[in-house]
Amino acid sequence: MASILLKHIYKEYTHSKKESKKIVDQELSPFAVRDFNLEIKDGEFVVLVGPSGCGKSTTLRMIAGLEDITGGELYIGDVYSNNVDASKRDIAMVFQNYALYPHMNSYQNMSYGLKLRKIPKVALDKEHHVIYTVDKARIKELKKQIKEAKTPEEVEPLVAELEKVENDKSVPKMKMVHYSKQEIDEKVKRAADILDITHLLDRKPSDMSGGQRQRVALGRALVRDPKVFLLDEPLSNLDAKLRASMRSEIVKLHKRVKTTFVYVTHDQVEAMTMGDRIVVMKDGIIQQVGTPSEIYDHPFNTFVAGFIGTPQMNFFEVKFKAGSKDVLITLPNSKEVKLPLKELEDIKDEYIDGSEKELVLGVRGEHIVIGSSGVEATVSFVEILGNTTNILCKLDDSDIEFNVTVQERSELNSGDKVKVSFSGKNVHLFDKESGRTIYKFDLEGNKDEK
Amino acid sequence: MLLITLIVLGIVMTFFLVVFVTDMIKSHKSKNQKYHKSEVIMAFVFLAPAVVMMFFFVILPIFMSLGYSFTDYDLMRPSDIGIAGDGFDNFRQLWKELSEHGLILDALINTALFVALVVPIQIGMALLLALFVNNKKRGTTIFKVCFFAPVAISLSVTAYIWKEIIPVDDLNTRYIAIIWIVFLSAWQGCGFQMLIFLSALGNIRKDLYEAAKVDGANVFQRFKTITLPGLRPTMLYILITVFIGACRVMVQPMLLTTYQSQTVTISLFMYKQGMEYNHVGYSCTVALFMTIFMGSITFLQRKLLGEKKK
Repeated sequence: MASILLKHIYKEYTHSKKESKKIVDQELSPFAVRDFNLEIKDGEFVVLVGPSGCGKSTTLRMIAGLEDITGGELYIGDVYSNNVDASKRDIAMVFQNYALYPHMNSYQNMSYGLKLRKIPKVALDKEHHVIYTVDKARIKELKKQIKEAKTPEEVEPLVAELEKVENDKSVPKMKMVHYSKQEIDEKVKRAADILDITHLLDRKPSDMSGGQRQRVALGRALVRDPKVFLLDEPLSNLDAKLRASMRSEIVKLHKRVKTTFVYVTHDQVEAMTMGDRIVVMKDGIIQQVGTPSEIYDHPFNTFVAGFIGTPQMNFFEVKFKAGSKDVLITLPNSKEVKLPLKELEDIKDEYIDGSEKELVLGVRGEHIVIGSSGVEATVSFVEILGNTTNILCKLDDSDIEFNVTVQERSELNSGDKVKVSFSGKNVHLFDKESGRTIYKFDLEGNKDEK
Repeated sequence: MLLITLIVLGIVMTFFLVVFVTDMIKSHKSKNQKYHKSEVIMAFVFLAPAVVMMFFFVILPIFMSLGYSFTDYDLMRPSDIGIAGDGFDNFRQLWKELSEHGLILDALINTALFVALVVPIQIGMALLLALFVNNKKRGTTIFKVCFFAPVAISLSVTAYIWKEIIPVDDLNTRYIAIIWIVFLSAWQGCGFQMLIFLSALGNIRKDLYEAAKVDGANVFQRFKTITLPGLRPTMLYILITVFIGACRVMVQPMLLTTYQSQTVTISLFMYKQGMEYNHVGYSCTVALFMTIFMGSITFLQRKLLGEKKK
């Protein structure tokens, strides 16, 4: 088990001449990942989520050691790991395409990593007595300290201790050995038992279904008892039903093994349901870090607001003017909505100075109420999903469409006229230019007084 | 001669027609769109030229050489072909030469030695070169071209070039001459196998290497667990083709050295017997013997190394 610290991580791939020219011409960023800062606590389940090409897999692969880090520092545990080879990082990774060795059966696939690994073990002599030796690590440390010491006063006690340690043979001698066959067998069988794949142990990957292969791939990671689990879109090749069940199994597995998990997905449902914390990424940059509810309730910018949640949040470009008690919001069709100022807590002061501001108002479908009062709209489409109903409406006197989600069945039909309203507590306001929230918090959810 | 040609032609035509008629009957009965009558006719029309070519250049020579191996066919008397003795005279002569340490035994030993050396060396070199150029670093294309260039050059040209390089004495010394021929052949041939290995290497999934890396495997362990099993089907193909090619080695010893016991090979022996000493009948007997021998080894290779059926 280990924590992971990513400090100002950058990743730049080597570009061909053509690509370089495109980057310069279109003023694109040459970096696949830019200034990535994140601390993942020991035992935490962190999900990296974002659209294709946002750098989430690249970040994971940098943690795994499969990609070089262009800039910044990576610490696994307390060890600076930028240049540590992937094979020596003691991490396990589950790949999107399972990456099971095709010519080995499940048992061999799972035991392969264990067979290669060496672990320190107490050395025994022929009569099975423990062999004792001097504390070599301490001697090395003392010698280093003596070398660095500046005054004779500092050196003296160190030399005395060194002499003592050099003569003291009380530390059990350790040697690096491979796991025994029996140990490997026990570990593989225990992991197989946890994942319920004991009956698949003698099957080759080609004889198994996608779900079974994914379990074996998880098993291969699990047997190693690694410091960190890295999962790269492990469920994206499974069908919807299997995905849901594997999702909960991975969460259960995490609770059971209590190891650090870093999970990459483009599916926001997976992110919301699995992670202790979610990192939303776009174009190689972190957009927001937070718990699922923080991200859902307080999106930092329009991207996060639109990316998390199905159906997508509705956005309206509005004019915003704060009075002493109320704020006046002018919708795109020039209709005005008044919201009490106390419902809009924690808005940055610069936005409530009384002048008119151009903002983006975001409100989720489930927070829009169809009732007897409010802004007029016309129903354009009704989508019955079973437990909920999505009603697509068009704001009257404009081309703007928005989604309303209701919990019960709706009697509404296309073309019906409705009145919709929303509460100030449920709206999200973003600066039109920067797309950032106008509430007082930063992208990690900390109170931002600026 | 004409009779043999007609008989073989008859057999081939009958076989072709039987297959054609069976398919036509199938197309008549089956509702499967794949067996549509016009498509069957079309398929056989397209097949016909290939079958005709194969008949004249593969099937007929095989049967004729099989037939000639029982005759006293002499190039000086092409119109006077008769059964050699009781029909097995050529086989007796072959056995006699083998048991009395004739030139053919030297040819057999030299060929075996050549095959035993050139197959692993050529395949090993091809694999090493393929691994070396199998990356996207700049400049690898130049290496690929360099390694493949000998394949594109005529064997006789390279043989004459190497004849200038190799010390004359070496080519007259037993075993050393063969080793030079092995070296020349492997150098010339491995570029082609390198290309095949390269395409096979490209088909091995990259994530397997990554998974092994994360599992803690070093370069050699990754090569053993992923590259070698991934190359297995290609390896079998290459092994068989290189083996058969090596068994037929002729041009290199013929051009580099004279017809001598130190470097004579089976193919060279057959060629000399047939084309220079005019004993076509005997030459065909040796060819038959060689075919049976090569066929058995190839069969064994397939059995031992072939894909295991699930």
